[in-house]
Amino acid sequence: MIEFEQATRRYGDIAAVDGVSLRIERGEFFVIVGSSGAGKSTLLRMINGLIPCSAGTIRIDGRDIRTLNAEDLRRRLGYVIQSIGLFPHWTVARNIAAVPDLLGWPAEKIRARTLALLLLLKLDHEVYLNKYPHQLSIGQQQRVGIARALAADPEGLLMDEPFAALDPITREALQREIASIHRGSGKTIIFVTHDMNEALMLASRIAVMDQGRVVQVGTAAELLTKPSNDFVRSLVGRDDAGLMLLSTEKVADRMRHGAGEGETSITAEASLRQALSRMLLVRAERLAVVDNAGRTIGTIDIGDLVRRR
Amino acid sequence: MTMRTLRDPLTWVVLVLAALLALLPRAESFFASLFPWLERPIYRQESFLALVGAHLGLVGASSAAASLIGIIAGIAVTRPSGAEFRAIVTTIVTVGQTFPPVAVLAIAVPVMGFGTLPALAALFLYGVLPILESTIAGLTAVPVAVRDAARGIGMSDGAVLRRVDLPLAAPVIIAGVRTSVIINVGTAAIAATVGVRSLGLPIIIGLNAANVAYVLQGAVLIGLMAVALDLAFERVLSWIERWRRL
Repeated sequence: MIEFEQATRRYGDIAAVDGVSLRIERGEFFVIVGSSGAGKSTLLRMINGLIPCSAGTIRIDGRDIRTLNAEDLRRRLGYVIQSIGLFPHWTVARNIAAVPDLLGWPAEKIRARTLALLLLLKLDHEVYLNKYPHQLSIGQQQRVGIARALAADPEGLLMDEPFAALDPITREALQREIASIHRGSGKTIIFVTHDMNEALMLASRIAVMDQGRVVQVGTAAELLTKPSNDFVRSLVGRDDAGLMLLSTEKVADRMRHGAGEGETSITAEASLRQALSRMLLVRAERLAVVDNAGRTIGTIDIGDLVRRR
Repeated sequence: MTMRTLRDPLTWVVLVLAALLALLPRAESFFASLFPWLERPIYRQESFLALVGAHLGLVGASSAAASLIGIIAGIAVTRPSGAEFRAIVTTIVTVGQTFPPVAVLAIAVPVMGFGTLPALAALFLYGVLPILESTIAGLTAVPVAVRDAARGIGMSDGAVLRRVDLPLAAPVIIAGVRTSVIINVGTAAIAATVGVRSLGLPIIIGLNAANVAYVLQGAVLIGLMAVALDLAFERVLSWIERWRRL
């Protein structure tokens, strides 16, 4: 659990982070969103002490981070950044092993962990283990960056716009990857982005920052249906807020189980927005829902999308 | 000898240097034909081998000291705690470089007396700048993202320096040491003006006695030594390349 109490960071007269109070629970996928210069990255870097607080306190599991050893604290929280920052003189294997190496793990354990992480991030170890960062695409580099952050099995991950530099297809793939890592590991993830769609898709809760302050904290649905001010409203989009809302729920949440009706099918894992899009595309008011194995498990109707839950 | 050693220019330069050292004392008639007006066309006050050894010792000692101080100072002024000293340290070292070594000797000899010490001091002062500058350049060229990630994943400042900064800056730093050593091979000749043995002796004596042959013999050997050392640094750079990947 991470707790901010009036956390502030000043540079001269300007407060980059201004009296932020927040509670992030263990296991949350907490997304901090805002325009550039809003103080999101500063807030994130204050958690692992890369930027010290000018005033206020940040506590992890009830302990003021100033009382913790900075290196130990950082090893407990994996760190992933937009510019990736892989060590260019080391192979992929050595990059991933960086923290376990600092912790003095035995070589066998490091090797096993490295292979497991390459598998988790869908990088073929026979191809990538001994490659150097410059031989990889940006997307592959960021996969290695995430593997490096996870290497010593940290309690949480701090991610600073990790996918902002990726092309849309790679970005989507990595968004799915990090969502599934979150589901699979239950680790706390604190994720900074300026992309509201990304926030809505990934977050269990979202904090909106503007000019160093947190202006609203809530679930995606809360932000979309009850924006607290014009800034949040402009961020969630005045016109397509309803569509964004659809993208926060899955077909599985609203489908009717039973025999499938409808000529076209969609997977239960797809978002309601994808379901609507499919309906519009094929001019159908109902779709059959299939599971991952392709078996029909139910139906979703256009009315199910609109219905209040 | 393998083909690889045969193709290596370093092998050939060292062989030529060794051949010259062996043949020069026997080349009396050759130099006599080149410079028929000279009474003694071969420098014989001391063996060339001993002079090469003394020259190398002088360059080695002064360059080792310059590397040690230059690299340590370069590291110190690129740490956050030392950043405010960067301007002053660079200025001092630049002034050291601007003083002609001959002037340093002229000042140092009355203070320290004749001998090796003032010569070493002059060479040291002349050699620090390229090393300091390359150390600063190499360390500041380490990508910000890489250092940010290194600190962010929990490397201590010492670990960032040892595992990230120095390996990445090493080729640039070694390039500075290389420049410094090559300059010092040439500059070490002037140590002879304060009575220190080096390959400068035949040159200085030759200049005083209008003996071109002496000057030529000293200069050729110095030139070959500089080329050999320069090629040796190529080798060092490839070792460094391998080391930093460990």
